[in-house]
Amino acid sequence: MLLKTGILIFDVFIIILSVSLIRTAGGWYSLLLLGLYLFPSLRMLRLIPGFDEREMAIDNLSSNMALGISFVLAIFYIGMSYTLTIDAAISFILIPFVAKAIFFSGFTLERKQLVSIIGRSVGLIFVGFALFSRGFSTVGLIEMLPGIVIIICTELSPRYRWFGLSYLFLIGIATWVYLPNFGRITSVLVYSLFVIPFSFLLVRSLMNTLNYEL
Amino acid sequence: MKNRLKGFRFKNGEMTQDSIARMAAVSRQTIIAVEKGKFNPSVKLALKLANILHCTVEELFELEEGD
Repeated sequence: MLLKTGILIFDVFIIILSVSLIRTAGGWYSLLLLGLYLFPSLRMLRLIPGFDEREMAIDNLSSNMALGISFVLAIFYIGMSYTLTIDAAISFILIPFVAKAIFFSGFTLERKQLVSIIGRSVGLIFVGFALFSRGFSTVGLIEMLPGIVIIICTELSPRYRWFGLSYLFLIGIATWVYLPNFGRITSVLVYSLFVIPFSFLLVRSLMNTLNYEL
Repeated sequence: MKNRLKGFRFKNGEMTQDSIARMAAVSRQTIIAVEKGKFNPSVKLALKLANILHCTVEELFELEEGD
């Protein structure tokens, strides 16, 4: 009972903190709330199935990995002597959040399912972003091209395993585009959000099963 | 830890991984992981599996040397 009350007080504190961050610092902090409470709430309401014991173990493992990534990020930011801006603070929420979601799906889903879900989501985000910012125009279509390429790679890589190497090509292009702009923290943020899913897609599309033991 | 999940599945009328997963209220991936020896189930899940496959936990799972 005491533990439950403690958890409730902590949850209320986090919600108040997140809402104030959304209002003062940036809308990206809504992801903090979403990441923390959306799925547990849906599970509590029995709208989505609960975790089984293996999924719970993977959830813990992916949380640890995400925490590790935030340490790497901190060391990288210190090494690059970045000034701590709102963008940097947002990246500390967004990058581990995406990493956790990808590690969790990567360890729980089957190869084909995983490649389809992550690849299609990233591709559609690219297409949607181009569509919303430019509309149906020539510039918009050009901006949509990376998204379309990602979707094509996603559709082909589950069928033809070696097609998974195309993700390496996409990572190479992202590195070529973003590496010269690493002086800006937003470039690091976009680059990480691009490279984390594609590194995982590269590994998963080439390997049939992940060799890990829980 | 060694397991004879696959053997017992076939002994029990070629049960699919999916049907066992549904009966044990876990995901199919969990059954696959247990069968491949990549995940050691809890006592609760081991008992459930033994119950579904009409055998004892000792028949289903066996400790290996070094475990």
